[in-house]
Amino acid sequence: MLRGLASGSIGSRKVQIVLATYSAELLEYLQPDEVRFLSRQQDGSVTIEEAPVNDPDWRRVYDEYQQSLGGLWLSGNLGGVPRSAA
Amino acid sequence: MTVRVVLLAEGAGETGGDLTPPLAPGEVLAEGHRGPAHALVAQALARSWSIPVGAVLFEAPLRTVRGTVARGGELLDRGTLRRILSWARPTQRPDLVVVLIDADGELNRKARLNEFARDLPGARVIAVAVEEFEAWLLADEAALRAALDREIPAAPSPEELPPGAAKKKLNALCDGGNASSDRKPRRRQVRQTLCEQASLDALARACPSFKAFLEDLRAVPR
Repeated sequence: MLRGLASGSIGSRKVQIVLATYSAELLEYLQPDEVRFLSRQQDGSVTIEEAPVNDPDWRRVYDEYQQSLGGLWLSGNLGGVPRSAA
Repeated sequence: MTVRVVLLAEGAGETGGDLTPPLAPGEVLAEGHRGPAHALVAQALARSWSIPVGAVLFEAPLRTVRGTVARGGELLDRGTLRRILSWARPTQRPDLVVVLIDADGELNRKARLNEFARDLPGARVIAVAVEEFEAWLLADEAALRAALDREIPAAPSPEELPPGAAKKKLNALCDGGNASSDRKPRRRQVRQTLCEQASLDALARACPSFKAFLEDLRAVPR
């Protein structure tokens, strides 16, 4: 349904959807370039990262993870996982 | 100059990870996050690459697709090993990955794991201790006596012990005379001391698998 809303196939016009999640399963329904990964740094600031889809090695790594964006995220490869408090 | 290293080992006994929450992949391991194997690998790498021990920085490894630190048999799984050796961003990739596992009686384990990772980018050394990591820790008897602060009986070559025996023997030596509640920290402390103070030459003389590890480190293209 969210995909339909975003594409305009549901409703009268396209809707931009911003969704915050900790769900690895939800990530499986998204394309890598649709997701941003937020990490809190030790100084309290937040960095925002995206999957390096333009890197020459990206496709190999993505395939190594069987195109599981959730698995890639949980591996810590994309950022957005808890860092140490120290 | 610093060398960024990721160490993958079978258990918390080697890497010390059971006392502290795991760090995010790529974070530098502070003292409390390093275990005995880190100390030994740092020494071995410093010797092999002619760099100061302090130049070796250990970083937290990638996790499994379940978000856990890969342990034990997981490192022997082709898909898991390849994934935790596959960094999405080239800048995240360490200068060297050391995979330290036990032979557990499997003669061709090192060749098998090297084949798993053969085509992956990045430098790595797969070290297989015969039969287990603890055999290396039994190899320098002088360091062992110093770490235990007592005499110990002469022992056969540690790599000739059957699978499981070196670990059992080291634990028995550590446990002698200690209450059960004190055993775990005592074992950890002895392991740490051995890895920091053992003579690499003594280990290489007594353990062909450790000698091979040093040679493999020297052969890494830099």
